[in-house]
Amino acid sequence: MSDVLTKAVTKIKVIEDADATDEVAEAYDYWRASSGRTKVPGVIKSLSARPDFLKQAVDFSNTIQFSEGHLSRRHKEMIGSYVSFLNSCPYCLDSHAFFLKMQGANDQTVAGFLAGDLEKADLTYAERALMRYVKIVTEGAYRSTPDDVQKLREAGWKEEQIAEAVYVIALFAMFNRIANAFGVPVQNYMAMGRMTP
Amino acid sequence: MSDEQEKKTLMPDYIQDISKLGLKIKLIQDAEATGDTAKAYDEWRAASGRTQMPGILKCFGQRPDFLRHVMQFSNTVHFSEGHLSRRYKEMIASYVSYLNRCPY
Repeated sequence: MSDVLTKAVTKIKVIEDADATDEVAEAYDYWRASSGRTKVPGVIKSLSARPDFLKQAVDFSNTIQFSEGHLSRRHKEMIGSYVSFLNSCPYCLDSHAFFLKMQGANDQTVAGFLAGDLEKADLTYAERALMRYVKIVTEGAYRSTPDDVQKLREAGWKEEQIAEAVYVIALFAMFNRIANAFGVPVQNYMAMGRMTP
Repeated sequence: MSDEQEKKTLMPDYIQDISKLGLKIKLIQDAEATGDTAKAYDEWRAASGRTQMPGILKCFGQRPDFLRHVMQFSNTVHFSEGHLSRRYKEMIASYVSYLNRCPY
């Protein structure tokens, strides 16, 4: 990632953990209870202007991203990492490449996703087909064709898996825009080799 | 001028024509929905007072649990007054949809 990307500066004010009161404090506690962690991540704090929406975001993220579905957790983190690279979101790329590592991806694969160079990543034929589709939808969903989807079916992906891949791509389109619009500082999970508490 | 022609003059062809690519991923249609998908569709009908599921919501038919979340947070953040008015939210939605070339 270039310096420009990693030197994110905060652009829109968020409510910090210590300053949260009332509904915002309650929403932060909702995230803490759901995650079992204490320090609210920047992207979650970006939602502090609407604590009711924050709680819903915790719920739908758990439903569609942080659980097994039609797609495995590992495939969801591949999608999340690659979309975040394509949308130039250093915050999300750092954290989801780390989650991808936690899902058992080897160092070479994680490095490939961090660099946006999937040639280097240790991927199956089906995973490569899926990542090509992720790129098409992220760079312009309107340009995707029935043939692009057919190639996924031929690679072995089922209709419900393709649908869920689109939900995950869209989820990251949303969070990448929120993190970059707010200018959320990178958490450096990859460099630290662990999450914040 | 027919309705169809009028629509074409209001939305530029390069956006309007995107829908000509047709359906790419299968949607679960109203009539073929079963189990929890049928239940989630019924919940939308009861909440909206309408009968035919909009295409954008049918895109979520493969994960009815997620569809429910989508309906809820859309109401929370878009289809209600907030820090911004409903009118400003629809200005934002219309312009983002134009910029992302989403004719729907």
